[in-house]
Amino acid sequence: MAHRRNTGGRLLTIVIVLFVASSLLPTKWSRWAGWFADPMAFFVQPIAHPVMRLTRSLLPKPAEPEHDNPQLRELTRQRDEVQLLYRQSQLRINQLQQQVRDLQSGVPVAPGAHVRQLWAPVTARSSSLRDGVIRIGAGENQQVIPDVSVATSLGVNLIGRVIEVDSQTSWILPFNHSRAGHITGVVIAGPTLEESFNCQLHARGDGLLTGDMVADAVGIEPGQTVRLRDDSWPASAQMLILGRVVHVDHKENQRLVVVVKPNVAPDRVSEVVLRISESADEGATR
Amino acid sequence: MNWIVFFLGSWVMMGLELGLRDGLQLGATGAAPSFVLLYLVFLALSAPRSTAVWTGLILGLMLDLTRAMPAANGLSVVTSIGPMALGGAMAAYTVTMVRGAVYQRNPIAAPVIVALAVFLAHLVSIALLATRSWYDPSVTIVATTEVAFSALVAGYTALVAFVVLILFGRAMPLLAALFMFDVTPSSWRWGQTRRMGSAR
Repeated sequence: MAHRRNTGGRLLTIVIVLFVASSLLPTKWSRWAGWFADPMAFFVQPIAHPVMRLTRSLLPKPAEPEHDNPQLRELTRQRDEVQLLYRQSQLRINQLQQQVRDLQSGVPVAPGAHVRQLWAPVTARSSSLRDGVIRIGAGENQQVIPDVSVATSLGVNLIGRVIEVDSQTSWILPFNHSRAGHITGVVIAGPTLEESFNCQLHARGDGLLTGDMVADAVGIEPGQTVRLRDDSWPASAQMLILGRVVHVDHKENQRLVVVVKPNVAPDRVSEVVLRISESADEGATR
Repeated sequence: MNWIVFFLGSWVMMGLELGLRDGLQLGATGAAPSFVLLYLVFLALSAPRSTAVWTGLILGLMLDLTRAMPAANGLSVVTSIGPMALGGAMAAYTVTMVRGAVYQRNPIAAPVIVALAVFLAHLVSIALLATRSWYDPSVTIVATTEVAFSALVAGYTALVAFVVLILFGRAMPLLAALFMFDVTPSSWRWGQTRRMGSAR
């Protein structure tokens, strides 16, 4: 009996020592820890996912009067899609004009973006919500590629970038996360891209983004749409909606500072549309 | 302890832990109650000490494996096995140490132990990750902010424990019997002792 107790105690000590060692191992030597995360997800998802879906269905929807009317909601969705295509076409024209100029001067340029869209459910978030990352139910088997694939809501609102891919699942870092770094957006102040002004945004930590406008920005008002125009993001993400300007302020040097609220809170989505660039060389330059 | 019931209970609690967080989180703070640690305290209040420590390790390991921290550069996620497992073990050990001193009929006693255990589990985890952040550039952690956040989570989980006791207190003896714990009033530490005592 005493021998059994000793064996149990010794095993417990060994396990604790192993856990201390694995806790303190640097990331480059502890990548193997990630191998066990997938089986764990497989084990808990059958119960966590239905509970999460039920919880989200019971949560109050964001105040959007258009949601009351299904026809209006569909028209709004179609309008957003057409606007996205329009803005992307404008950007493409600008890029092609630049390409023509580059070709005339002998500089090689990247080819245009070929994008595949893929629907995926949000299956989990990190067990510590402060981590902010989102797990979705699509991975290597669906040809999701880290850094090249971006997640959107309805294909028009940016959610974040795929940063890690397993066989069946992927992790997304929302664009409004403090670790997503600086992001260049463009505030659309008029009907064409000529009346738009760049801004350098960063996360405030409360889900909103803030940053300086370019020096010559004029006509910036709350309610205007902000879209992504950042070379460090994949081509498939350009001109996706980041959110709307909710506050405009002046700095001492008269430069404008904007606060941007995402149209769709990344931590509230229950499904995403992945936009995957078809060739890996179209990935971010980050 | 009945280990099959334990693993079934762990599965359900992990489901609640991951599934209910969106609905129960406190605004933008991200603080949400930990059902897994609540479950751990329930077990540690009745199980033998070594069993309680093992359950702490197992439940903590489950939390470690479902946690994904974004790396400092935001280009990958870091999974670390150990911080919450050791935190869970420490919390379970502490509960087994203080459970004898708990005044059983006080309805606040169990929630206070829950708050202590949850805070302690997070504290151990923060200490390990903070140590690692000194030499591992992928892990960055602001210890003071994390400690404040842990206090919030601990308080919130204690509040949930109080509500759970009010709602399900009468079912606790049945649950304890399922786990093959001693449900005699002298060993029972989750309230309702007067009713059980009169039944005897």
